[in-house]
Amino acid sequence: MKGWYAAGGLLLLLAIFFSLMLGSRDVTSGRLFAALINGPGAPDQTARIILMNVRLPRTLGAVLCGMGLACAGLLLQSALNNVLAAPGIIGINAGAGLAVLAASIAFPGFVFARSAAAFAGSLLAAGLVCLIANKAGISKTSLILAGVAVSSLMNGFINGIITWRPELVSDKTAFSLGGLSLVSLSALKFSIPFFAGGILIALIISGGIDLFALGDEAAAGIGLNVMACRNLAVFAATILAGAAVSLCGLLSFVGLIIPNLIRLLPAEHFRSRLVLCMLYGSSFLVFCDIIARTLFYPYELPAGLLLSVLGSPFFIWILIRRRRRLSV
Amino acid sequence: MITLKDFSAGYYGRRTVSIEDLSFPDGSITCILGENGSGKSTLLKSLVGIIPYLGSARADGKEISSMSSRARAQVIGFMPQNLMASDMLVCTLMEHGRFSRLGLSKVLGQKDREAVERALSLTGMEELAERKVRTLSGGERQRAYLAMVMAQDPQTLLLDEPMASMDIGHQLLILDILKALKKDGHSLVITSHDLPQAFTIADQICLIREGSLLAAAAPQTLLQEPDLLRSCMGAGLVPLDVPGAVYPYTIIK
Repeated sequence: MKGWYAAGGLLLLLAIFFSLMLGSRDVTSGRLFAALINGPGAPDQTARIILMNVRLPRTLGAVLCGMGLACAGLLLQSALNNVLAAPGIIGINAGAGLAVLAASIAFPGFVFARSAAAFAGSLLAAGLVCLIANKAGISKTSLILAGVAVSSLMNGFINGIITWRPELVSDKTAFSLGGLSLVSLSALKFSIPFFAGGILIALIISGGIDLFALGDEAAAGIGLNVMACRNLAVFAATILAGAAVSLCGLLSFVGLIIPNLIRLLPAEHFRSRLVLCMLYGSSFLVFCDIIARTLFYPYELPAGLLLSVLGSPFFIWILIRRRRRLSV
Repeated sequence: MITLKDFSAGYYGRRTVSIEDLSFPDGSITCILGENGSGKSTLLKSLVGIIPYLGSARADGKEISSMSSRARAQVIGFMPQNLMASDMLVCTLMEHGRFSRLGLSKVLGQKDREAVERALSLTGMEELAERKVRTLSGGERQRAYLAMVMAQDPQTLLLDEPMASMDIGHQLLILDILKALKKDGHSLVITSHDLPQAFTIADQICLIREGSLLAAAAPQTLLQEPDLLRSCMGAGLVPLDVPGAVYPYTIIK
């Protein structure tokens, strides 16, 4: 297992290094380190501006969002005992999308308002899902059904707004595709406490989350407060995914792909899988972002578009793998 | 000891089981008998917080509903009827049995490891320790979950049809384990459909029909009330005088 941690750490460092170096204007490693080390007084101000205003926020944003989405997906898949669970399942995507559209109308051109609205919208939507699920008895099924209901409702409102204000289509599309080109250091500072909080909660309840695999009845029998643990897992997933959505829009499949790939590794406990999701989720998104912005240079693909292309074959692979497990 | 007074529990606002007065003494085996849907499993689930209950249910004088999940699990263990087939290893399943006794770090101490090893050994699960629970047969999975509850080491063990899927050889093994647990002072509450088995091992038999407790008495006392047994289970029971019989009873219509 230690080998997988080390490989993940190395991969992340490589990803960060290449992300800082590669772009429309390549920055050599020497200029990179010099700009980092010398600080605001660096002689090479061009390199410093590129680094601090563009590459570093974008890279850190990819690290945090990749980590946050992968960990949110892992939390939901573990808490709901469903390998197809992802942050969108509890209404986060729909809630964020609706809030961003509302912010586009109320505060046009104010990028920070959209980020804050995305975060608030995802929290409100997930909160509504949990409220409905609690009324129905918070089980795996009630959470998923409530998520479907809330997402449908919010998507209905989104389509209504688009019909009323068709000029917002481009805003909606850009947010729905997701990307890291607009990430700023101030937005990162706002989101870091939420990423840290989500990870901390996940670590604290990690022992309890392991017990969900036994089924709710057996888990209750050995002392787990199933409802409280599931609520906390969903809450942690919500703030992680909400913070990620506020930075990068609706990046799909990270929360689905990474936890399922981590499940192939010899890591039995949730805590180990969480750490692996942090390492591999962040490096995965950083590499996706590098490919997205360099593949068709000078044109930049939204990272979300690339993820959608990668995600579909992955779904097919999950289906085939499940069928192979069930066949003789 | 668990004592129930004016106790009721159920689903969706409907009382599935109601009991006026019942206790499960320490160092005894109670078998709860009843037809499908009579409320046997509901009773057990309500004592471990899966379903809320009304009235009073006390474990060693303390109201069960007032206990935290961990405190309750240190006193009452539960093996459900439906056992999940997960990807975890059998030995990991045993370790989870110690959940209520571990700190935040979830690191097992010496005492925890000894409890796990003892449970593995007593249930004959050592050879299967490195297998995934998903790959076990139904009977093996029941033994694994029983071992988990034994590793939990509660005073009272609630077992919902613990031997339903087991072959006769393993049933006899489990029966020996249950007798050893009883001898150690544990209280065992077992739901079952197997009349001869229940009457053989139990110190107290509880008959439940349509959620109501018809009788709670020693097996020999209930054998004198064949109509009561027949009304609850749809069949009677008579002693079988066969030397060496494991279950010295046979069912009659």
